[in-house]
Amino acid sequence: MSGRQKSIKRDILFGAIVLLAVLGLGLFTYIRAYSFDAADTAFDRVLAAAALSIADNIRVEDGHLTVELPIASLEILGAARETRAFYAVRAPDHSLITGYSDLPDPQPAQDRKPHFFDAIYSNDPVRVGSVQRYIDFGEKSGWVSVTVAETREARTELASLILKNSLAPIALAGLIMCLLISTGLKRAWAPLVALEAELIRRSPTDLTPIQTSVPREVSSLVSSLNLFMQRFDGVLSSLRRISVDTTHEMRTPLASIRALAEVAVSERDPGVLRKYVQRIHSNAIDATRIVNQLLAEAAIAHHIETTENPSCDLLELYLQSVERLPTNGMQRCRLAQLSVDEDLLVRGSPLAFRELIDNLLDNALKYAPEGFIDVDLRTSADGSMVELEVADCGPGIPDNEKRTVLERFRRGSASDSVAGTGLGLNIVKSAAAAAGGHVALLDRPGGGLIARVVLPRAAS
Amino acid sequence: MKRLHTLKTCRRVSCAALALVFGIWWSDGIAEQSKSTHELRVFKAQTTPSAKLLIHGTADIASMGPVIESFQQGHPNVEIDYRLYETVPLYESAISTSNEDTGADLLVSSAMDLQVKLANDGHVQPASIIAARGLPDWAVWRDEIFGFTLEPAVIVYNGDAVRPDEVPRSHQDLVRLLENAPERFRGKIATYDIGVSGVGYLFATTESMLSANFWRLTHALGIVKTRLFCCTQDMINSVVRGDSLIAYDVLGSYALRRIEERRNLKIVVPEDYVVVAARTIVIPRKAKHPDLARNFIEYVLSDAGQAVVADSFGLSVAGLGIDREQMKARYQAEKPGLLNAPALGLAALTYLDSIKREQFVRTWRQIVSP
Repeated sequence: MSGRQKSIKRDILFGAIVLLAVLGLGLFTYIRAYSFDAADTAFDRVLAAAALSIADNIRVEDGHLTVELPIASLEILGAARETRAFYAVRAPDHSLITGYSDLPDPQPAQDRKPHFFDAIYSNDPVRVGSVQRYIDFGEKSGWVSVTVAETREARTELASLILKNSLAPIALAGLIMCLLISTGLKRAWAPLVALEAELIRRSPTDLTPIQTSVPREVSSLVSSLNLFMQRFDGVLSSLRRISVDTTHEMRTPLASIRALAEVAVSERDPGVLRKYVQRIHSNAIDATRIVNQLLAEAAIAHHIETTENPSCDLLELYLQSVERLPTNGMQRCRLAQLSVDEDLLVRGSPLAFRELIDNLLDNALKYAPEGFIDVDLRTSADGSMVELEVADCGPGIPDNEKRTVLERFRRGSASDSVAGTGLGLNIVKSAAAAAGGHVALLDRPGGGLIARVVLPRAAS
Repeated sequence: MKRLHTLKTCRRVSCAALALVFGIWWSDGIAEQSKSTHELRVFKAQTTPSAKLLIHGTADIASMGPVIESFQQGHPNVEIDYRLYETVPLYESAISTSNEDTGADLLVSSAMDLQVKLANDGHVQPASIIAARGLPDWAVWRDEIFGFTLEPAVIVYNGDAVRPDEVPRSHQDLVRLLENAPERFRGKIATYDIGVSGVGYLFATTESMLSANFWRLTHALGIVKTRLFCCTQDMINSVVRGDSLIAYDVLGSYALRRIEERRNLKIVVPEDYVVVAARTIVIPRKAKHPDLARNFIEYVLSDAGQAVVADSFGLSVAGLGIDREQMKARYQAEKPGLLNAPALGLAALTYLDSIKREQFVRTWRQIVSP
């Protein structure tokens, strides 16, 4: 496969990877936000505990607020070794009792619940927690605030740990998915690869059905391939047969032309010579007809197998065929009244239909030298078929021969007096069969033969 | 609006007042101990100097010198200026924003709590030190503070004046000794003034958490009218001279060096517990040569550097945990007690809280010198 060519395998894999990447990005964003939330929730409690433990140690000594910082208050924050911590204890009038005077001062909430917010302190992002305590000592009574801030190292570490541990299985799952898709595609392609191998291995003349066993999904491909090869084989063998037949059929007229010509060379009598020339001429006509019909048959076989089938108007084809006939033949053909509103479309090779009509008319004119040829074109009762009937007033065909005259090179017993190849009705039969129809030979009431061709009707 | 303004002014004034109180309290200490501070020693580069490293430190030049010189052997083109500080001025110079042009590249301090505060408040820059990977938790924090020595608080005594049966082997012994014979030791005991010495305060707070006997010992020190000193050197000198008989909570590294020259000076590593502080080193945020500073720390914590440190400071932090065997060998101690190092970390900040510190020191002073 060349680089530019579209590859389903690559497209699917690429699509899957893009989809997984988008999904992964979404998950990453979600889990990241969640892990930071989780880390904040966990560490905020510690921060609150630190602030509360300081708040518990606020006392009034000699009318002044003072606080004895418990060792544990900052030590519990230091449990995460990397954390830096800051604190400030402020009197009700916001003056600093102890700690870092420039630590962000929270809005006084005046309740006992801890409050948290983010800030920048000492050039680092910090999480600030604060608690308020109401201290009663005379006129200066009020809410004392304890603010404790810590840097985010431990929080970030926990958050990234959560993130890492949740993303690792997801990433693994994504990888496995890609692997599965890739293996799946490879497996799905395997029968095609096997098929390709078998086709490459075959000799060019081997058109037997494919033997490689394939899964259900590919069997329809294989059966259409087999069908195609079968049809191809059919065309090949009919062409081969035609060429053999042609040689065989041409041998007799050519041999007799040659023999007649040899005799004619030494003939002195002009009357006898003219007879020889007439016989040579009629042999040449025979040979020409044989060649024409064989070529027509080959052409039909070729067309039927290889061309797309357009819909053609049978009436129009008929009228064209009649026009090609010699004048006396044209005059003998009589078309029955047509119902106006019906179109007579059939689907198939126009060439095949033309040969079909030509041969029917030719046969009728040839074997019934007298009387009209009655042609009827109509649709069947249910409208699904188109029927073409050509009726003559000739000798007809006995019932036991009706089937065999449709075969190649088989002629009826009544036809000995007429020159013919035995191909005409066979061409009609093959052309009708190729279009999905059939031919029937019937006795005409009052003598004569009716050739009826029934073809599936094409939608207009 | 006016009210808000007044409120703001009030806050500013109260802050300023607090800072003032704090400042007076510290400077009170500095005045007493200024005799040895800000001494500058220049360690010339062995070749043409191409770089200069400025170290501010509290370790005396006799201890720090060999470490610096051995570093220079590997970096012969580096000139190193070592300026001696006390713990608190060292801290203050690190947080002041005015002396940008004289900013040190390294700060070496025995007051680990002040170093923690420097790091916590963002005045220190992190350094990824490979040699620090083996350090125990209590000797390193945030890749910013690195402990490189062990400084045990020991008891020293004058061997000529103290009878062998009187020698206190533990804190318990010391309490009993002072309580039983207050008259004999009146004015003859020396210890840190924890209001002045950062290391003294660190030892005292650590011991107060560690031992139920701490306040009893403090009380006993008060009974005998203990003399308070700013620095280890002065305490040792006092013992050597015979002015004091026993000095308590003395930095072991200095004592160890002095016993070599002074036969009458004796060291006791207490048997019940020993507080050890690590001397720590940090790179200030405003350091001018942070890369060279990092190299220096890397060297100090390397095996070679630690060997020199062990030689000149007595104990290194090399190896995991606190090495009792190393201490036994160095101090010829029979049974050094349980070793306790104050952890580098946020807990150290609690005792630096101005109110807590003030209260602790006030209480302690009320008991020791009523």
